[in-house]
Amino acid sequence: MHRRTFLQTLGVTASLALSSRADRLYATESTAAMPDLVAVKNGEPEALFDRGIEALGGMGRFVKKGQTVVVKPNIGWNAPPERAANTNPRLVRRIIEHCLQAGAKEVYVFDHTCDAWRDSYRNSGIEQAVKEAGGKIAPGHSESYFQTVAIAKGRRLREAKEHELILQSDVLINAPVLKSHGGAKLTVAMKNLMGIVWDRGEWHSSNLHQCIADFATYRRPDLNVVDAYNVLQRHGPRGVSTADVANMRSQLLSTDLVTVDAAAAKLFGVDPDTVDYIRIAGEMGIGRKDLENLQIQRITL
Amino acid sequence: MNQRWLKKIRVVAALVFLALSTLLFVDFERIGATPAATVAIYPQFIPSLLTFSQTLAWGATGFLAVLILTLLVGRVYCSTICPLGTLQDLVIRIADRLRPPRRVKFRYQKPHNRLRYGLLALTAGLLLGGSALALSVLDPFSNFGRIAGDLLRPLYVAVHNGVGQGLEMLGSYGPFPLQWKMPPLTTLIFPTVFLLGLAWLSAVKGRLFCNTLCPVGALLGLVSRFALFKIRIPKDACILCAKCSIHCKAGCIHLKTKAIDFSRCVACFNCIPVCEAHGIGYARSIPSPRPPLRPGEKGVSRRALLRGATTALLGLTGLAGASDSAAKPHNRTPTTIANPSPGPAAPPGAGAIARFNDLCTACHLCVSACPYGVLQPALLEYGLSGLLQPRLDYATGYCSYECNRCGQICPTSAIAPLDLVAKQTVQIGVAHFIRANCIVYTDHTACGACDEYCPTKAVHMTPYRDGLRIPEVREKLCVGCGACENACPARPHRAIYVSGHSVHQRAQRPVVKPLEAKDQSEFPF
Repeated sequence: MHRRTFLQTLGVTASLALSSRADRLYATESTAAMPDLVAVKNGEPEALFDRGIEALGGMGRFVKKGQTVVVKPNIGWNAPPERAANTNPRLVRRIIEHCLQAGAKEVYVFDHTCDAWRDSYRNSGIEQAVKEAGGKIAPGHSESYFQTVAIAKGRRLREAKEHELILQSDVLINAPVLKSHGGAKLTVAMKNLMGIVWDRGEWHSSNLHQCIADFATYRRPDLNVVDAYNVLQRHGPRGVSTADVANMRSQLLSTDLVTVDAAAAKLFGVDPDTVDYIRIAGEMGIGRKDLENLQIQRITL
Repeated sequence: MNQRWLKKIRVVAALVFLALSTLLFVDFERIGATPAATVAIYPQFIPSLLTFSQTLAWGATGFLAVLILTLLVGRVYCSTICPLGTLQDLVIRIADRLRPPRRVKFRYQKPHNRLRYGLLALTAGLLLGGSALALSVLDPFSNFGRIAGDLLRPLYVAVHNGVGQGLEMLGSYGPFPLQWKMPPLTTLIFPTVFLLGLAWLSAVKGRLFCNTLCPVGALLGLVSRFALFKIRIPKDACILCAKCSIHCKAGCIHLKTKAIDFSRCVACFNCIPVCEAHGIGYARSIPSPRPPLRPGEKGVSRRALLRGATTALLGLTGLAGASDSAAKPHNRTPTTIANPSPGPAAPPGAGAIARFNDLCTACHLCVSACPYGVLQPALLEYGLSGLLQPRLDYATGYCSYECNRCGQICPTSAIAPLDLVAKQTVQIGVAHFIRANCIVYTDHTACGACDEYCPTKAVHMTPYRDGLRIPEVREKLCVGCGACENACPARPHRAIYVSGHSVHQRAQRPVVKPLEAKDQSEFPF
């Protein structure tokens, strides 16, 4: 056994022990006692996630034995991990490991990328991370994978073509990276869901912010994990160089994607109400952005 | 003397080269970065020669190896290395299956020396005078590339993706679908007509293309006249069974004189195993007196060569004049809502369009290799001298800031290999913004798709009104990648478009300012 594989197994076993402990701890509590938002900082991506998911009741709360899981990171751009244009591959790997430990049958990872998908999957480091963790990297670059669904509660967006994996999987874990965005100001959890849609180009020409909020009414992810380890502070969503990146070593976890977006906005340093789709989503009642009234668990490692 | 094994080796080698070359063009992703690609490209004569003329690099000495091989044993290039040659052999085999069996497969053909050496001189003359047009049209490797890359690739992609879809129904992903972006259909006319013509010619007349139109065949024909070993008929052993002649797809075996025109022999060795006397085969070439010319047959005289060269030069001056005015694109400032037709953009590494037009033989390997689908064959965008050469078509894709594959793979170095850092400051054109077309202006809604995709932030958003932001172009930072034009959702006329430079410029590197430090000691919520 290679040393690295050994260490990985060790880490996995350790966290398995941790999460089973967490299961025991929370076994008697109802989910109502769970925090609405967990914010972790001052750690590496793996450690942040281990503590964050533990505080949310462990992965066993979201993934049951034999279920299929789809993890949707941001793999939009042909850029290396240090540029923070995509979700950190180390976080993606850790999420998959937790899912498999919780008994997931399959863990799929995909994105409908902006740059050429092959380059983006590869250079983001995510393809390799997924393979090493035992997940399956799935394609998202061909219209044949997408099916039209109705957005019943949409105001502007009435239908969208959604990736079949989202329709078929039991669990959806949304794993965006927090970064600045030229068009939408900020991209976090709701905006990341544009990557499970085929015909998103039309959103740009028909009120982008309303469309993003509308689509969030369709299927709320079971879990949102916001990667704020490296944060692209400007020139997003693509970034120009590593000079645009701040090492914030943080992570946010929540089942509510409006909550997690509002918290991410504050972490980024902008008022959530100045990001139109967050404001609209709050008004539409898709989720809660009144952080002051929510139960937040703050963890500093 | 038994040399029947020669044919077996030839068939295996030819199939290997054909398979590698085909795979390279239809599925670049699979072998493009492997040594197999080098094996397929290194010995290709014209690409290697053109690269060597630019770089004098060891990696481009394939044409020298071919010349040495030809000086030893004749035109082995034509029977094994050249994928277009093997393609013709395949056509002959398929035609033989389809038609009634015939005893006489081929007959002796008269040489068309004036035609083949004239075309060789024309091609060389045009090339020296600065136009690769004749090469583009006649070079066997480039013609094969257009057949495989332009015509076969879409079929391959369809079958590949069909299989992938089948596997997916069985519940497993992979092989992932390949993408193919349709080129302008008019650019498919030439390869289609060429393929049909070539198929007909080879089915009826064997390797006549190689001994009339192909400039590489003509040049190697000249060289093979001086080959150390040649295929010969031992006059005393020959029983005149005629098997060699009726199996010779080059039609170069003249039975009456028991002579082989080795300059036209493509070294397929089909004559060797069929010889009833087991006589025909390689023999050390001995300087012999010139065989007397048969009546009605003309040798290559010095005068004929001279005449060919003159024709070539005459053609050259006409063409050079024509291409001069047409090949130089001019940038027009947009004044109306409809985009002015912008100058064509050549791939980074082309340097200047005039240089690029001189070196590119339009093999379309870069078109196959480009993962972004931005490289598409031009029709007359560059003018006649750039016929079928690749240009950047921003409607089908954009040039990725992180990609330099086209220069790495270009077999003729028309697209010079640039390392990624150097490539990122080459300005192949400049983006122009038409405010009146912009969705922010027309629909009064947020967009910013161009800014999202811009790798250097040459396109950036500036305050507009009511909190909206509208794009602005900083030309100095623009590399002309066209990501903005490709992403712009405005129709029918986009709000931002790239106009190519006739001579590539240098873009400024984006200025790197440090971020303002933020207090991160407390959670802000």
